[in-house]
Amino acid sequence: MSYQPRLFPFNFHRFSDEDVLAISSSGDYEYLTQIELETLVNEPEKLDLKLLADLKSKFFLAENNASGSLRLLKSRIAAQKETVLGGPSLHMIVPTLECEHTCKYCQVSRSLRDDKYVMTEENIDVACDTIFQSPSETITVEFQGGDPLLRFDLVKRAIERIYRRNQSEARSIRFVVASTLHQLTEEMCEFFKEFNVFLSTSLDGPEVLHNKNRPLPTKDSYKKTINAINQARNILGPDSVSALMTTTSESLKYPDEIVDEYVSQGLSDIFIRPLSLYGFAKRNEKKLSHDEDLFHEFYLKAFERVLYWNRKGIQIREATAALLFNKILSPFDAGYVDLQSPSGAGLGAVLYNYDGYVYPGDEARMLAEMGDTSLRLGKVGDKLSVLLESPVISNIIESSLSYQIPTCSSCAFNPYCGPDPIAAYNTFGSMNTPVHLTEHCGRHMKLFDYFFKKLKENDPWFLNLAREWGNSNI
Amino acid sequence: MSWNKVESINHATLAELQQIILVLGSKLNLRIITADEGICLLELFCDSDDQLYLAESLIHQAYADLKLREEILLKGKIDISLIIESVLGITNQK
Repeated sequence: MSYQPRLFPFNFHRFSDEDVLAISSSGDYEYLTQIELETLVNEPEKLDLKLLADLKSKFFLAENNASGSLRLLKSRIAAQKETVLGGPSLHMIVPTLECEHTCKYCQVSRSLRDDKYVMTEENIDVACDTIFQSPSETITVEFQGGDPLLRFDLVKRAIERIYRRNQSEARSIRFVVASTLHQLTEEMCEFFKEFNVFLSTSLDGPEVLHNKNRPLPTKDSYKKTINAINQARNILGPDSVSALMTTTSESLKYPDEIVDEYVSQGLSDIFIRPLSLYGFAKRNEKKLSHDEDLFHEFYLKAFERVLYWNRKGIQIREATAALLFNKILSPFDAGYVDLQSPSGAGLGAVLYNYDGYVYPGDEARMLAEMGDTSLRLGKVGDKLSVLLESPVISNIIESSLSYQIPTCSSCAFNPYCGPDPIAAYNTFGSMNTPVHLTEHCGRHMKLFDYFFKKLKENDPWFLNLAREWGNSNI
Repeated sequence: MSWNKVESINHATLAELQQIILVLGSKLNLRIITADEGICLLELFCDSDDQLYLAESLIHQAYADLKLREEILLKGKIDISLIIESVLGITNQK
């Protein structure tokens, strides 16, 4: 009796007339020629024995009646979905919208000194208690703004309350404060040191770009940021501060200079991401936004610069690449909210806002700031189980099940990806917008295509780097 | 230079074509526009027949790939959506 392997469903991505990338339902991949692809589909038993074995181990093929392979495939898929099924692990608290900056691309911040934009102490306490209703053993509590350090009293109150409660809960909790750091004092640093708090700030690139993107009346936002980073490092340690950049149309001129700035400041991570046109940023869309193709070109240049420094022995990791390498090369998902199916908005991350309401993430509260409150999950103080049963969450889940969405289900990158229903809603007014029309889809298709071509070059140095980034904490 | 119709595309081919355009057609100035009754048109901004032939070959590749995907689904036999739904704990959806 001849061997008749059983074909498992898979998708492929075409590189050329003669070359494709095949990706199985488990997320394993194989580069195939057109002939190999057709043989796999029509007469798999005729494939070269080594390729046949590889394809079996990667869930493209199985023995007939191979129930063991199906169980293994299910466990692989379960491992990828673990981060959205284990309860929200990212809890964001917005104690205030106040901020000293007047950035054109800022989505929400207010410079007003007005209690209207500050969370009440009662709501801070209740939000902290709600966090423990999540079954997740690993929790990140992130303070956002505005600039949360303008209300350090509330940040301190929350951290102390969570810390006390965690004495009995014994969860693994990580605190992050996202701030300009311009208000940072020695007293704050000592407190952050005691509670092992990480700081995240914004650094858009070299001085001229940073000052242009993030104006202050004193025109010294870059200097203030760098001084604060150094102050924090002196007290909290060299790895206590990370930075994020925002890409405006102005930034597109400086891919190398932006990466070089991060290197010269000794930052070990850079996250090259496009501008999110939410909230107030949408008003300045024409001035700030960039064409999808121009951003991709900018990204590739900046990424090449990151590789240049790594080849010279300077370790700097680009976060978008690291997240995609995690998807491609690791069986365990890092839990990046924006690339989940179902979406991690709500299931993986919730935001407790100064206004007393809870949202399924940062973008939803930005929409609320512009008057669209339809994405509210409920009030601060509602049980987490009630918040997660809201119709908004049902809508987010239904519109982000990529295996059901026609354009996604035939996409090779499906096992690694997921639609962004909130971005679709922001752009098109509906979470059920055809996914292939969204910027999120176009950007990630190009990125996956690019990274798979890089991996195909089989450069041992690059493969090592990709594996290292994909398996490290992101 | 002007926009020239390459072909009408039905909805099922649209995603396939998006992917093909992204990779093989990235050097061509192509656009997909929605016409009446959900039919989409693939148009090319060009002034030479050579470019038009290239765009037409992309369409043929897209149809061939679509057919191959259908074959994979047919021969694959396993319904991956059932596996995912059992992982997600989704019941009574179908």
